[in-house]
Amino acid sequence: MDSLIFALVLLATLALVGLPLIGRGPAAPAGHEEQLPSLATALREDLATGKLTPEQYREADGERSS
Amino acid sequence: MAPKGGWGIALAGLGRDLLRLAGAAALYAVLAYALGYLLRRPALRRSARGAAMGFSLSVLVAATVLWRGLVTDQFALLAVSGETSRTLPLAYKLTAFWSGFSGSLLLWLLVLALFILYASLRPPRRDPELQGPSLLVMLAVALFYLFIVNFVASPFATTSASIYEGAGLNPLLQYPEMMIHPLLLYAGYVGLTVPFAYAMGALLLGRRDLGWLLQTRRTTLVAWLFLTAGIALGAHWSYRVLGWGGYWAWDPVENAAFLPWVTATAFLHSANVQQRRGMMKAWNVVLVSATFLLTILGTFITRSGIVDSVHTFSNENGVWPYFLGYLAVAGVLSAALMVWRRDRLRDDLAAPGALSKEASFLVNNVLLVGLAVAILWGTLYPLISQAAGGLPVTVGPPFYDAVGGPIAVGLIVLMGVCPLIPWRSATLRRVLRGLWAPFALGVAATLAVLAGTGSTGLAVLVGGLWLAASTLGREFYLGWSARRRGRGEGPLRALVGFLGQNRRRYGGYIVHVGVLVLAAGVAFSTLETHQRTVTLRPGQSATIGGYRVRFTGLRIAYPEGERQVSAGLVVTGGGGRSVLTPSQTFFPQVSGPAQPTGLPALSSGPLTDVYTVLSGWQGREATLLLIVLPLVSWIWAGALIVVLGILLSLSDDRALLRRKELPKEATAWTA
Repeated sequence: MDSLIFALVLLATLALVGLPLIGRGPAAPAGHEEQLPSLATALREDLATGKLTPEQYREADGERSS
Repeated sequence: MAPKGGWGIALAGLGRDLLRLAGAAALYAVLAYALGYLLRRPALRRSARGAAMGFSLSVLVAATVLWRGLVTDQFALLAVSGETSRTLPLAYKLTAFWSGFSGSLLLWLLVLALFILYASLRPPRRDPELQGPSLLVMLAVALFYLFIVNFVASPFATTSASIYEGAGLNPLLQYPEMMIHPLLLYAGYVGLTVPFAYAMGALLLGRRDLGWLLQTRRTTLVAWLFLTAGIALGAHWSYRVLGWGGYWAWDPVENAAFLPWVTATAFLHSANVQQRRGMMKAWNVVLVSATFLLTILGTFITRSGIVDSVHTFSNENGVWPYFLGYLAVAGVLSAALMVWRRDRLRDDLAAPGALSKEASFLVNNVLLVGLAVAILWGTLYPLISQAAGGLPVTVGPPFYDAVGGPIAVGLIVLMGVCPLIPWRSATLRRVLRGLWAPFALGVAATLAVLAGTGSTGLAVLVGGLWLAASTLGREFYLGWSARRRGRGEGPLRALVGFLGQNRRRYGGYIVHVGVLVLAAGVAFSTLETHQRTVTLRPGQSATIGGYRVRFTGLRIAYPEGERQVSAGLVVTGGGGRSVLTPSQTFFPQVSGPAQPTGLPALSSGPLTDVYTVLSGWQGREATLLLIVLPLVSWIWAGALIVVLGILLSLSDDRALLRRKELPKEATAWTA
């Protein structure tokens, strides 16, 4: 039983480490790509969830674009 | 099924293997991240992120293994036999995880593993590229603790001797507060590693913006919340259980928890200045690094046994040279990184006007850092003195009171003045216009207390408290009445509405209210305490601080098999009557005769506590320590208000500050 638990954890760790090296595995987070961080996405999310009013969104978005 | 001892040995083997795996995964992750950045290989960085998750998984399972050993009484594990016994209630078996030295280090790793798992699953929304270097720093921190638990003090160390019963948990620790006090302190300590890791990560990437600061605001607040609650619970336990009549002794280990709290408090304030005005950038990185280093120093002082303290574990594992080396390496590396990236830490704006909110935050920081330096000096002075060949010296409460008192007054006055000063600059006339009424109230309170008690220190402090309380009260009133007028809402609805409108700001103000209540409690209970030791026969009475304590007699009982001697006391005064039974219990020892452990009894009210301790007895006579302390309940109430204020502030997670609050550099990373 104890050996099985260790084998499972070891296997999971090896998979997490190895799969990205052969170009597979879970999708990489955005941070691993050389792309611009998405402030616009954050703003849109906040607008959608009501944390920003449309007016505040327009103001902040306008500031961002300028 | 394997025999019990055999099963314990097998569990220990599994635990050790998992910690080795965690060590290997963390080491690989650090190297793969470093190479991934140097060689510009994204696949290597993704693999490093996988290794970070593997590290977290291994530590989580290793911790579960230790818990399993504790719950199933696997006394072959020294961490189980040294801290528990078969009869110990389940809750204490679970929390005995962090009672011992090596288990407490595994707890540290466990909390860090949870933070690392969270950080690896959720890249920072505002600047996702920060994820890699921040994880690199957190994993490098984890490597040190992995080294200790793998090679110096294993939580899975075993004995080949056949042990039927464990030593049990120290009875003084068998209280609910003590179950979670270490957990909260560690969550606070480790949580403060996160802003440090993001600050270092931002420097490694060469960032100029405040992405790291915005990203870690909530984690820093949560860590500060844990640390505040942990310190308050520890003080409460000390007061209710240890029977010395106080809650804070300026003990090195208490100081070790308080030091990072002080610098983290300074950071929470100066972070505001960087967010609003793009200033104090370098200072914020220095503060967040100092806070991190102080958490290591705190662990070092607690775990090494190098400074005499009631809390320290013994230096059985010779662990302190490793901590000292780690502290030095971490300090040098973070300083080197700051020097290397100094051009990225230049402020966007020149120095502010002398009369501005920025300047008041600066004074706040100078006072808090001054306090931290004084406490650090007091804590380390005995060591320095001894190392220099001098006699062992202890630095006691008089030193800390003499230094801390004036600084506390300064900070409280600042709390009263700061809300009245606008950002950028203000005219003296404008500030004085808002300040004269609170100032007059403060002076009136000072004179009243001076006339009543004759204590100058207390009078000045109360004056400061009144000044700050009236300014804060004015802020709340203005916000509330504006909401009522503007929307025509009822009093209660307007209260909820205006607090909810700017939870971050009013959460901060509520924290300040809590600090004022707490400070009042500390001031009065320190400066206006009455204490006396009396020996009484049954039926005799003693008076103290307006209370009459009548001794009714001694009683012997055997709750749960242990002999317990208690004194019956009837306390009258303050408009009430209560029966108290301070006691001494004889707990069995592993070797030698049973030792008595005292438990105080107290009657706690909103204005006064009557605290009684059974110090000893001779025949039917009892020797009692009687203490009357004013406003101790305010300390616990103040801590609770602080916690509620932080929770309100935490609930505000808007992605952006409002347009007027948005500094230009906040948009820098989209450029």
